[in-house]
Amino acid sequence: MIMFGTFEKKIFGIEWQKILSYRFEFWLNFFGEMALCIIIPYFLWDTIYVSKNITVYHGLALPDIVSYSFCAFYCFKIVMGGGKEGSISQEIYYGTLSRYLVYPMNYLFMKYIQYMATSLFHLSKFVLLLVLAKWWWHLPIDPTVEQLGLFVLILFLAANFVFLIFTINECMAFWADNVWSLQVIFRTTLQILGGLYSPLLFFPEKFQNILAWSPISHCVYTPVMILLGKQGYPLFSIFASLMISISILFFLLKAVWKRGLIKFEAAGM
Amino acid sequence: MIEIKQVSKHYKTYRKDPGFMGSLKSLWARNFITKTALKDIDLKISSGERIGLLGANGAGKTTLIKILAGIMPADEGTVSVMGYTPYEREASYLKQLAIVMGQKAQLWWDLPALDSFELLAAIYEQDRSLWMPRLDELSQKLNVAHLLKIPVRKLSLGERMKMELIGAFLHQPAIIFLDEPTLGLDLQAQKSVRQFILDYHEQYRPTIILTSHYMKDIEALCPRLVMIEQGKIIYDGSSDKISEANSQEKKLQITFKNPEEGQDFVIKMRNQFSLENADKSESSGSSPLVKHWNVPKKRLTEVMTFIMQETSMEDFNLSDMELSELIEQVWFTKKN
Repeated sequence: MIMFGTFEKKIFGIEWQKILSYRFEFWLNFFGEMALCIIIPYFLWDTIYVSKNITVYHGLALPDIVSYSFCAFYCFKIVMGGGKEGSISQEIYYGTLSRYLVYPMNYLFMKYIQYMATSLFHLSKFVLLLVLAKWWWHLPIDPTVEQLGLFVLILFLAANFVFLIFTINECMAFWADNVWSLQVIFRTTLQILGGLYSPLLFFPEKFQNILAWSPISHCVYTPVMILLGKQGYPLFSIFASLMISISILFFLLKAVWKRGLIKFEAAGM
Repeated sequence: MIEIKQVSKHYKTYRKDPGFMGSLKSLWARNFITKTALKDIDLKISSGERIGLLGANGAGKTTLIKILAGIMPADEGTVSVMGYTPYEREASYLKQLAIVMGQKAQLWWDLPALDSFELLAAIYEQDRSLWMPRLDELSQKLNVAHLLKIPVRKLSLGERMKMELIGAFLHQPAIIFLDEPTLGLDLQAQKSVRQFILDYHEQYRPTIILTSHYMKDIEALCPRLVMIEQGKIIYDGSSDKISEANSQEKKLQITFKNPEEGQDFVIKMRNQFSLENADKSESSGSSPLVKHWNVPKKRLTEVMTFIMQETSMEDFNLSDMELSELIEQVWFTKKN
């Protein structure tokens, strides 16, 4: 639970300032990404639809699938905290974690605030770009207020889930030094089974039923389908799988962190 | 205030044979070894003391600081700082602590130092009405008030170190660990940093534990020295002996035009002044053209006159002794 006191506000503010520090990078990212994540999916899916001679595939027309790709790209960024994975394991590996351990604060809570600040920044950016994309490319995205609320709530839970699982992965650096492969495996799993590249609708039905109970599928696919107003998984399976996973991972992270700190040698300090 | 009893710390690491086969072998079987960083250390430090922690690289001084700061636990023995066990990392203990590392930045690289200070004030739960005047005071003393709004990455090394000091001292810590605070700074910046630390200590009386390889830092800041070698304390006492040793000898380096002349001159110096060549071995990477002697200051004039008359040297250099050499000398004298 985020209790917004001075410390949290400062961390939040600093994260946003860091994103805004590099002007060229910011604007390139802002408009470049938007163009790429609409133009590339458009030509890719257009080729597929034309070659198959279809206008609708699994209930999605070409504008729908382009909208899906656009939204999925940003949802992935939001739940990934803007791609913050690797920072904790690097701090353990290089010993810079010691810098934070001498402060009277909870390091993991600070990382959580940083993560959520970046996620919120990308969510704000997404909302702005969504308005732009609707106006410029006429993407068929017209969510109701309820759908928007549900979309934000699921994204928030998914971001918590991804933060916890990535942080546990990163804590493995206390024992294994380099955990990059572990991160890549999870990131790739999240990209494919989360529905970043294509909607999970295109997967075999049996597989979809299994994925309904996996929190991974609710990281990208579920919120995007809700935003597009399409039928997704039942709400009960979405919330149950996310809440149960978050609870288990929370306690697991606490245990791993406590044990890991005993192993920490602050190399290079 | 700080009491360390029979503290030991061991690190587990592994040994890998060189080359591809060594890497392949280490994928399956690793040869783990245990390295002792600290062995049965006993140390007492009173409140408000200024202590220099000295020792060669790998001697164990940083491990001791890590244990005192609560970054890692001791494997054996007890550590008590102001009644706290550091590794428990109680917030009330950490609020009284500060660490400045010359080699590592504590401030946020992309942001102006002022942003970092505001965050630090929030971390230490400092009231704005208290820390703002303190920030003014510290930044005026270090002459960096005009740089507070410049991104840290745009500052020079000396300016950054001054900002690091402000960041560390802003919450008025009771214990300050300074790890090479003047590393890489020019002489002027070194001097102002030293003076600032002294003034701060005079005003607020924190306990300061310093590690440095600069003799000037030790002389200026530490009335008491603790020397660590291979995880054991080999000297704990006044820094006067080090200063005394430093004031007795100078290090003379002569570069000869050819190695033969250098060898001849080593013999001449031995015969004339009973001074032995201070190069430990020719194979240590030093050039055969370069020779060193430790010359007593009182004989410096006659030695220099002799050199001018007897050699056609390429170059010469006269400098203070290295801190490690002084430690060696004091340690050697104590042993015998």
